[in-house]
Amino acid sequence: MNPVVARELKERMRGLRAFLAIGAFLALLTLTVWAVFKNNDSQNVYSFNLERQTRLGRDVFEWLLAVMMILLLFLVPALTAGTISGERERQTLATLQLTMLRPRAIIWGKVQAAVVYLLLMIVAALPLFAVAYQLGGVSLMQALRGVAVLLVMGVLIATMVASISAFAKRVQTATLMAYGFTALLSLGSIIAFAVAGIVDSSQGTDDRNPPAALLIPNPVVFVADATSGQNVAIGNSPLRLIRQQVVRAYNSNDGWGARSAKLDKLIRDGNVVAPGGQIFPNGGFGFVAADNQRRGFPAWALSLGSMAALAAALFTLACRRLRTPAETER
Amino acid sequence: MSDPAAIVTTGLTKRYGSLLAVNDLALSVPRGSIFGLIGPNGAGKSTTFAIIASLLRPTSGRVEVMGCDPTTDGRGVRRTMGYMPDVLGVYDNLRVDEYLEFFAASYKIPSREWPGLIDGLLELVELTVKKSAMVNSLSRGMKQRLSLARSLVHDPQLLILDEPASGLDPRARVELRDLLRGLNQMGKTIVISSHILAELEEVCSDVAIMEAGKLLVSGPPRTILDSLGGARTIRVRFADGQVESFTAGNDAEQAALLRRLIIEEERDVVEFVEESGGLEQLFMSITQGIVQ
Repeated sequence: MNPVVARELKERMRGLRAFLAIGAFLALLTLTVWAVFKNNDSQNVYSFNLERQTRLGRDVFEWLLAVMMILLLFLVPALTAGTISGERERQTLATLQLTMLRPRAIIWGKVQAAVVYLLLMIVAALPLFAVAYQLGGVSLMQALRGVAVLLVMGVLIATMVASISAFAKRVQTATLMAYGFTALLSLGSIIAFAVAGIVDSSQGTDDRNPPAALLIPNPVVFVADATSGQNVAIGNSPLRLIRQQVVRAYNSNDGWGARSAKLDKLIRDGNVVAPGGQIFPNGGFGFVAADNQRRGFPAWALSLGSMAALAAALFTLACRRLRTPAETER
Repeated sequence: MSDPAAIVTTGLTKRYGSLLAVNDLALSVPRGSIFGLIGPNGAGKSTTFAIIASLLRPTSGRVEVMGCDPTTDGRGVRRTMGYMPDVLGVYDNLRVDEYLEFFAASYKIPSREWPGLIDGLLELVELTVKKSAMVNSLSRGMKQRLSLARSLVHDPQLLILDEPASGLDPRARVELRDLLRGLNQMGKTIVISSHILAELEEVCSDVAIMEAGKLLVSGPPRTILDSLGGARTIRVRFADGQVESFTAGNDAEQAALLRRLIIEEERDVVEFVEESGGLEQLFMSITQGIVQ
């Protein structure tokens, strides 16, 4: 076992703070489940049937995933931002660098320790997922896939943030950098897509939609798409909105890039092009109809690949940063 | 053939922009010695130590540490060297034994050896009673000793201690000095920097004085004093209670002075001591207080 993992876990799990954090995490998730039930009750008190029950199960699952994702996006930077910068701030980094541990073992040990803690949180939340499973609407595989997707997202963000931490001298700076980076990663691509869309429509032509690939390097898109079925309209949660946006962006461009010249011309000529390439000649206005069917190479796989590449690049840079002998004292 | 030196530096230079932190340093630390590196703040001692310890790359020059080049074989250096930096960074939220276990694991020492190793180290630094205490409950002196135990965890043949006595009370300093002597008797080469020159004088077999990144002088303290023709003050107390101070350049002059007092002047001498502060005197006479 990497000694850094053992030490980090001993330090982290000592005292009340770690258990209070897990308690707060579970309390928020329990509140989420309660709110979904309450909302369901208010919609229709007197009719209760199997279809409605399974829909409720799916909603509970979707909301649990969404809230857990948001909580993890806040928690992972908190767990990992101070890892390397903390060693630097308390002046223990040099003694650690002078052991037989290589820089990658030091950083990866920090990531592993954060992931073990995340795993503990996710496992503690499994009984809440069991509620959704019992109600129906979610298969066991879907539930496990959802949990695995959150864990993968946690590993990737922990790797990126721990790597960024190697470039900060103080924990406070590292924390700011970590939250800035996570916000940019989670919201940056969505904002860029939205802005590009507004610019596009303001030109009045609607000829060139923003490339759907803009949405790809994003943990939210990854979680939303990886936990979706073929039809993205199922479920009632913020994740559904993200999925639908991704699918629309893909379908209206006929792919992840900008709209192809061929498709562009067809639309300009007054055709309606349905998702999947079906053409309705002179069918009316030049826009692409959007359905809720996922097509092409899955968004989650592209998202996973791009984030993994980013994490690997940051990890490599961080290892270089911790390599000794250094040019200047770090 | 005598043992090769534990540390050899040739033309060692470290530059930070326009600041020359270490300037053409040529140093040789004999194996088995207690070597004191002396210099005012900003003299380049910590930078030199960081280069020797493989933490920092020199701008130019060569270093050899126990036969390894720290710039190309850092792991080789780390295997044979224990380093205690001038700042006391410890993991506060661990127990003393857990702290040492962590470093034992980090030096890839098999876990079956940890209990005996940790007990031995704690006994050596006299912290056995604190084995289960939290590190943050230790006093500064105890943390210093724990840090020394940490640097010994992989049984290095060379110990580099950067200002180990800073912030310690007089008792802790004496204990540290005894500990260093004990470690030296175990065959370890010790390189130490300190501002407390009287202490180094008592414990070091060799010293080097640095200022503004440059080496001013190095060798055994007595030899340096003699070679510089440094006059030493001898204080003599006579049986009638009178105390007089004399100056003597070397041991022969001291002997002649003593002979003259006892035989020629027929005076009863009850105390004949060289006044402490020789190294301090030497330090003050050859450094100019240059601040970079």
